[in-house]
Amino acid sequence: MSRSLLRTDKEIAAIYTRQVKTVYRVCFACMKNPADTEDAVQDTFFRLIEKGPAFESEEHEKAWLIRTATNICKNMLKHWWRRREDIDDHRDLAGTEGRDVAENDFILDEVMRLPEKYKTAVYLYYYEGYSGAEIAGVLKKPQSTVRNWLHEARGILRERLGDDFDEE
Amino acid sequence: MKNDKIVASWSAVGPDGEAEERMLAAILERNREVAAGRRETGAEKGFWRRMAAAAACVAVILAIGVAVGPVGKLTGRRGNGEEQSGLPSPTIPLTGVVSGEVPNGITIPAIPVPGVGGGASADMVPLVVYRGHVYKMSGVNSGEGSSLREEMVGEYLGRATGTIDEWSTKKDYEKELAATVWGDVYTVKGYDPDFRICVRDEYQQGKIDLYDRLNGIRLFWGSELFEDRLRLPGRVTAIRYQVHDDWNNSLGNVHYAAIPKEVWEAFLDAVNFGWFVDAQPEKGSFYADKPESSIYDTPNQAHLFLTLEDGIVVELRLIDGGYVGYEGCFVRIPEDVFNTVYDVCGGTH
Repeated sequence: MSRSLLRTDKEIAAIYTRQVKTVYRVCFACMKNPADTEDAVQDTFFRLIEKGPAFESEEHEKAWLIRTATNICKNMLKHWWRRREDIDDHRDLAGTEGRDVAENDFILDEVMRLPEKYKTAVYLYYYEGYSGAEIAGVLKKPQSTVRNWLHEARGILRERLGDDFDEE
Repeated sequence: MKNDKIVASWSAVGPDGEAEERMLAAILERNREVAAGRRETGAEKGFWRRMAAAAACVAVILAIGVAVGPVGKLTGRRGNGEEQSGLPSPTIPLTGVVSGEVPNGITIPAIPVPGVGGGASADMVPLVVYRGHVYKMSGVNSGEGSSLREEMVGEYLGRATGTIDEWSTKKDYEKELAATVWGDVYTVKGYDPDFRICVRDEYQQGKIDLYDRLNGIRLFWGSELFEDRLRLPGRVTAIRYQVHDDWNNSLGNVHYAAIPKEVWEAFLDAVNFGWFVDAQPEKGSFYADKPESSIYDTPNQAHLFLTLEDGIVVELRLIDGGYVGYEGCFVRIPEDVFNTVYDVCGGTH
């Protein structure tokens, strides 16, 4: 696609401040370690700079970044040289928040152990509060596929977390 | 939230302060590199831009050429310097969706069969059934003489034998290549057969018509239609327009639009990044001040005709407020980007 808007540093920094946590969590769900997550986050914002999309609203901006981050992570994971590393291999590399989570939060550990395809949907559904239809739109997947992902992910989490998975 | 413990576990995930600063520094550095690169490229292209502008003028005069040369000062573009700041408003309220929420996209229901078009006689609508989906004759112009170019004809799919008429039953529609027309059916080179096929019509001296499937689908991002299906980016060789009154009264008067290349690319990017909106709400009104209105209920429109490199001409409908549509499917884009093209096409506000 051809280039579009050039944004000032101030504008890029404002978008970064608004969205970095969301983008980081989406990338972390795929990459599972802070070092690769940082690379993926940077690449996502690099794409924003290079493509220069114009957004209708902050929600539009967020949805675009989530989708771009997901695609970038998928590509990174596909790279032939990439070792499929587990979160456990990176406890010593984790950022402050990431490390605390990895060591202390077994719920997140279990979420991270979900199959790759479920994790982003689980994050968007539970944390961001997106509906199944919205997730389908953002990720460009059929609604039925997203419903299946969420259904299967719930089943796995219920089995692994027992009483800690207290969904109503 | 639906599960407090899962929400709480995610809350703890995030970059620490040092990582956040490190990433931001790298991102801003890239931003400056890209801005510097574009400035450089822009300077290099200056000569060619002027040449292209002259060529475009000649082409318009001769009425045979492409009018996509840079004319006048670019608009809707920003440099990286702070003095050039001024984003399009990031919170332009969306009509048809609730601002601040993610729209659900639009769902275009499958064409009901039998009884195409809610009771219209089936044989009045040129259609072909392929892989269980109904393809209707496309609203786009197929090329010179309204026939698709011969070199665009792809793989042979079979033969449509015009067996569908107004008395057909559901069972008749279930046959592969059931159709209201007669002729050989092919894929179209460069297009997804899930969206577009073509028929060499035996009753029109072999004229090749396009048939599109724009039903039974859900659209969310503009790119799903304008890029993935219509394949507009990088393939537009001429841009023409017609003001709405002329279009509405079939008066002709189609003009070449002198739109700078960069402006056009920014416009098309915005279209691809845009979200689809419900242009014809079943409940309520599109325009708050007009009861039971659809997006078409305004005189403030313009019509854009894009000639692609394969000869196909795509008509886009531009409607004041930032709406860009094809065959009833509209995305909304930021108005400042929209107006750079809309105003050139005689659009009124």
